[in-house]
Amino acid sequence: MNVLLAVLWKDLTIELRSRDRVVAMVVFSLLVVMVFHLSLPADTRDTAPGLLWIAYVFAALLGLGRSFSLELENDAVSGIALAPADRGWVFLGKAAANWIILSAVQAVTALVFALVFDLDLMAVAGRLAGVVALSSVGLCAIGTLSAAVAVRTRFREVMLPLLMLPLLWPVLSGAVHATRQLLTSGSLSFEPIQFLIVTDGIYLIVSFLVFEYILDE
Amino acid sequence: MLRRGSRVIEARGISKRYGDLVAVADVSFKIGKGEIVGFLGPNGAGKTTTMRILTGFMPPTDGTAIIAGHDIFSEPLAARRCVGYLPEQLPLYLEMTVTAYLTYVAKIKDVARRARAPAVDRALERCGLTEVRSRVIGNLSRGFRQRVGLAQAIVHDPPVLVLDEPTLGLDPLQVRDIRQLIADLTSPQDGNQRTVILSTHILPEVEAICQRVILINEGRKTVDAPLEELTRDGRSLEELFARETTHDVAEEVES
Ligand SMILES: Nc1ncnc2c1ncn2[C@@H]1O[C@H](COP(=O)(O)OP(=O)(O)O)[C@@H](O)[C@H]1O
Ligand SMILES: [Mg+2]
Repeated sequence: MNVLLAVLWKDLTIELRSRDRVVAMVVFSLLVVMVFHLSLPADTRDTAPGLLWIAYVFAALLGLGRSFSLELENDAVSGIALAPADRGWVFLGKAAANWIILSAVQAVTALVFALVFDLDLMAVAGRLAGVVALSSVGLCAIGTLSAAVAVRTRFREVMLPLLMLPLLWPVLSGAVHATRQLLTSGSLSFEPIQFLIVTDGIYLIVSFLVFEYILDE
Repeated sequence: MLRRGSRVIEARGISKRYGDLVAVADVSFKIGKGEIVGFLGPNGAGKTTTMRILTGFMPPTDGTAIIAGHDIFSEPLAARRCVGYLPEQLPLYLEMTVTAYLTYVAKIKDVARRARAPAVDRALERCGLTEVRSRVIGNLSRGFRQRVGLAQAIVHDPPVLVLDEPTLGLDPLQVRDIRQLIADLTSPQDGNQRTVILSTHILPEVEAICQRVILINEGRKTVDAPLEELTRDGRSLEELFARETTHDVAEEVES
């Protein structure tokens, strides 16, 4: 538990000091939103949830890739690998840091998205944030794990999406489903939420256990 | 339980294969409390691999190691707690300040909350970092970064120090400073005598701080003796090194 908080605090400290990761993610996801705006018809109520999540996934790919290159650049990974604790806690710390950073980016993106596509998100803002936050837990769990694997390979930029996107499919379909329900009807049933909670749980437990073996060569 | 003066580091038939390459082959040794051992060998001999295994960073293909009475397989967490490790490449985060970084290391090394600030202060002081404590690591010189590397190895006050090429890439003055620092860290002051294994391919380094030499070549241990014995009758470590290591590499070292 100590290790989780230490790693989380460390990653956020570094991010606050350099900020380049957050800035790159925000700029990138806003550009994606702009491209959608230019290339799609004005009325996008049906496709909006999918578009929003595409922007989020792009932002996540960009940010997660950096998450472990930070550790390997200076061989700092030996430091976390030698913590006298299950390495799963290191994983949860890094996933939590990624989740917080991604959430900040998602909030900005949603705001601009609503403006550009003239959506009134105010009425559902709280619940939308809940759905996005919940889905992002699964997204960050799988993403952090994939990043840890990908960073060891030769083509890490290519490996990350190849590993992450297929694994992401269940949580992403759940996320888009819940978001669409919310944006079209303004209400949210319990099933998609339940589905997201279950997938988050499975992803977290599996990644926690698998991570133990990833740091050994 | 360990007896006084008994072994603190023990390698039992350690082997490590990377695919077809045998990096370390059946290496065994015992190091007693308070000893400073120079782990010698040409580049590629398997020093780093052996040290990574001792620290629990990666498992051996065969054999095991006992650190301060804890087997790296059956009690990995207890074994890791007893080791301070300075890797060949410094495990630093360049964006953090020295104090923030050492506090972080103390946290992940499981130093109790109340003991953390004093532990960090002590490490800063022992490594001569007090003046630069609030500087960002990325702005420090190579010599100071090396000190931060040492400080992170000792912040949790481990009984065993594993130092991989601690003076690599430093200028002669910095080398002298770091050697002095290592000697200080291992002096039996405050009853907290540390056991040290340090790898190097720089022979004067061994003569300056070590009491015993373990030499490996192509993954095999070829020499294990007190420094005194090896340098008796005016014999030099260079000759030994040249004799015991592969020829082409020995030439490289001499030149
Ligand atoms: N991760 C690795 N994968 C494959 N081969 C490796 C790896 N690490 C080291 N080796 C090889 O193992 C041998 C021993 O390396 P190393 O332990 O780093 O030697 P030293 O530290 O004495 O220079 C070398 O031939 C090196 O190329
Ligand atoms: Mg080496």
